[in-house]
Amino acid sequence: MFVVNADTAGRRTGGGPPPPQLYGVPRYLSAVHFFAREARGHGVPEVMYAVARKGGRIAPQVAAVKALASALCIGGGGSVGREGPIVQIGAALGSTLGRVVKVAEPRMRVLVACGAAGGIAATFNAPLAGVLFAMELILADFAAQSFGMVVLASVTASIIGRAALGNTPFLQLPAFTVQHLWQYALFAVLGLLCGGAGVLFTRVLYLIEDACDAIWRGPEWLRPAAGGLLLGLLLLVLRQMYGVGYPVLAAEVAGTYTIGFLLVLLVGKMVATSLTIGIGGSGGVFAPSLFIGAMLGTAFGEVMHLLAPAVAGPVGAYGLIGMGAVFAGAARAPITAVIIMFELTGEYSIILPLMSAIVLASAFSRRISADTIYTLKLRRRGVDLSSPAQGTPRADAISVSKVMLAVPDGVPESATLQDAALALARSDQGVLPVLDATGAYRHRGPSARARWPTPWPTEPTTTRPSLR
Amino acid sequence: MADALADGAHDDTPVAEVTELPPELKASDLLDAGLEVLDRSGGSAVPVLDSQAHQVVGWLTHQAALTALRADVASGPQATPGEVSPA
Repeated sequence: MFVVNADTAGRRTGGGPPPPQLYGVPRYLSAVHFFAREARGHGVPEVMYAVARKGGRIAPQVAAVKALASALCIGGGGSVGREGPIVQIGAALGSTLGRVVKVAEPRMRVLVACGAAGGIAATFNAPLAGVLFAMELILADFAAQSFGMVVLASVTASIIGRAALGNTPFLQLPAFTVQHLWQYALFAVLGLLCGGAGVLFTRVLYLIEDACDAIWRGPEWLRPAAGGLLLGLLLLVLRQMYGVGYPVLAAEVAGTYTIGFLLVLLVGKMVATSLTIGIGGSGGVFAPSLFIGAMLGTAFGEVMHLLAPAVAGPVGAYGLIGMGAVFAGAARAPITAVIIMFELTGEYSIILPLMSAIVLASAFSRRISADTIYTLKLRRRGVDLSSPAQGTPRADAISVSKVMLAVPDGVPESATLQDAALALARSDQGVLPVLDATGAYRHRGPSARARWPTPWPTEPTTTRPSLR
Repeated sequence: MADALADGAHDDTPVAEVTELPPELKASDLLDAGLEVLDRSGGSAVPVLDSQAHQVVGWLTHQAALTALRADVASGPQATPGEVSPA
């Protein structure tokens, strides 16, 4: 039910110019603040965190609050996408189911991923992308067993979604073919540009979020209302920023806009999305990154048309590839990016330039930024998903004194090699300390000599300081 | 040392002549640093000194480090990474 709810909100805003009175209306209630604070923001990082660190446990109320918050936010004109909310809603439902039937932790994680996959599959009518999104970003693991379960969830959700919403792609895109070999080189350049744009989007997002945090001094629950006015002003100037923006996206790829306007839209979308999230709105960054990519790609294509009309080929192809590549650059999920673009277009001929541009975008993004748009949110709160999970003993959290063993018998430095060899043969480690005439150990430090303790009489293995 | 003994002519050479000075650790160092020093030293153990470097207090071996890193969740002392708290 929540799936349909958030989805229709998105579609309605996409259906044409929204009623003007909705602009800037302080539309986002304080529900998030009071009931489920995890529901603030874009959603995917919270799910990644829950899966990686909390055994997949997500509070059940997150589903309800997130559905309400994002429906209000997107429906009210927030310039954000639906993937974040739906992933969080699906994941919370999965986690709740897991709690009810009492599954073990590994299964709980898979259930959360199933929820996320089902959400994406049903909302975007993209069952394949749902599966890969869940595996690549949420589980970060491609185990065959979890794959099977995630696929089942995705298929079920798609069937229900298609029955309720019809079997239409969430975005209608024209098909393109590569007409000239030179286009591959151009697509590769576009891929690099898009990788940079994805990282730039990530930076702008958190920069504006920080700015909003720094500027706002009033009560937290009032912030969305105040910010909503500002966002409303921006929406009045740039109507194309309203909501998820798929119709604008489609128009853009079809080549309706001029280069200058495309660039205005590009910057406008980055700002509008960042502002929506910065003021406490609830929505995803996937659709905005597609939007930014389409704009960058189309603008790039138009420039190429001016520079090299003979080889540039259709402009729309650049827009399409830009979409996938900016998402790949921002989220660093190349597999999902390739599959979702492929699923959207159903065009096999575009797969080669698409794959190369997306892989280049991801690689370039990794080169210039350690974090993705999803992990940066966690990193800023002190969570590093790439480090070993909680529970694994960590080398940076144990002191050497807890681990070290009792010292072995030293060898006097006057001992002959033959004697030393015998002592060494008897030692556990194949290394023995050599002590000077006073029985001290000479070392590299400033005092240069340290007292060597009388070795413990028993075998080192039985006298090692216990870890327990 | 094996090299020195191989020719049979050095059986009575004092051990000081073939001694190598390994890098050392302080007892307060983290295992992270310990692993790096172990790796750098090329040997299988390094001495651990007290904070003033006046006394050798222990002996960090590869084996001990491995054991510690494999220790059970409940037994090993460990830090808890920061919780995600609402901003």
